[in-house]
Amino acid sequence: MPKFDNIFEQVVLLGLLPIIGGSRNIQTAIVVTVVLIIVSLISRLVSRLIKAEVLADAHWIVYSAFGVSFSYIAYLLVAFLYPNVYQYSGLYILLIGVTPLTYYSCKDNVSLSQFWKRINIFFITIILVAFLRELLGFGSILGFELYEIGFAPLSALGGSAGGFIFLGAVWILFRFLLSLDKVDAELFALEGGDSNE
Amino acid sequence: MNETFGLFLENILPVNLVLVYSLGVLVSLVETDRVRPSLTKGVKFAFAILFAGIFGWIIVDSIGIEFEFLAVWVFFLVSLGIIIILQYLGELNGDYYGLPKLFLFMPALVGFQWIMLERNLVFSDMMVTAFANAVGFYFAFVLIATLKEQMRISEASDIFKLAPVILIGLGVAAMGVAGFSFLY
Repeated sequence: MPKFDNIFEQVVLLGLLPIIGGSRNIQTAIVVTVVLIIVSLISRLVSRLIKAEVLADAHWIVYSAFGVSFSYIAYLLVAFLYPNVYQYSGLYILLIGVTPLTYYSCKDNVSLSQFWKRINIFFITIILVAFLRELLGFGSILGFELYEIGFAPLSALGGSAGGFIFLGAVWILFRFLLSLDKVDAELFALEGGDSNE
Repeated sequence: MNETFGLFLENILPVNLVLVYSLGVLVSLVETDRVRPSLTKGVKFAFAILFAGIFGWIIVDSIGIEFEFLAVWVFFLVSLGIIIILQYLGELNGDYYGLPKLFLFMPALVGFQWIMLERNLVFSDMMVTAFANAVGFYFAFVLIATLKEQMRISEASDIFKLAPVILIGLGVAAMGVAGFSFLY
């Protein structure tokens, strides 16, 4: 049985919550990605400043304490700057501080390019899901109504159900392309000993 | 229908966190294995949700509205305490993609407490809501374990196995549950 264990699956699993919650529309997806990048980079900086050996096994708790603090600041800023994003997805901005993907870059053996690769995959995935949700669930793209005002082709998919279904569909599409060798498997190969086992 | 009982029923499914806010999906996807062990494992995680909701609410309620900005750190510490107890009970040990498994359950606990705070519930309603959400989470946990077990033995292509199809299944379930909300 071919094992579907690659960077795409890693990113989707570790960043599942922001992808589902932050894909309500394209604007929300962009804001969530920006907050994720900022909190991740700050957490990485904290992890490089604090010696993990001194804190023994508690270093992840210290990193996440900083992460939660900065995601709370981001949550308050988003409430002020983007009230429409905050109204529906504010919770997920806050939860970026406890999302596993945020702390991937804090690992000792992870370079900035490896982290950036994962952020790109995260961004493309969340944008794809957000595009489908906004188009079919709300009948608009970037806030511009494509149909009669208030009409949405599949309004039931505008909520979290749409997030689940579209993410599942994108995931299956990726696996399908991988199985047909249309995607370079080497490009998505996991580095080091990372595993979901 | 009694108002409290209605609140209880409503929080088990139509407005349950697992389906509505998708908070407990990651931990359910990762920590479930076969159905039989998941029946007991799910109880531990459901109690964790219940106690996190109750302790977080009580502490934030007791510190007063002028210190409510500290809520996020209170919730973080309560979640951490609950996860340490779970680890003592043999759960969430080890790594997942090189990260400690505490990160799998932390969003569910912090998010659940945050939503409870935002709802401005009185004590009795908070207790009912926390209990109902724990029960609903348990159902979803066992449901995901069942889906995983069935998929392992199915003859479908590997492309369709496990996580992506579970997500689609949860999406359809969420739409189905929302369709019955007229009952409440």
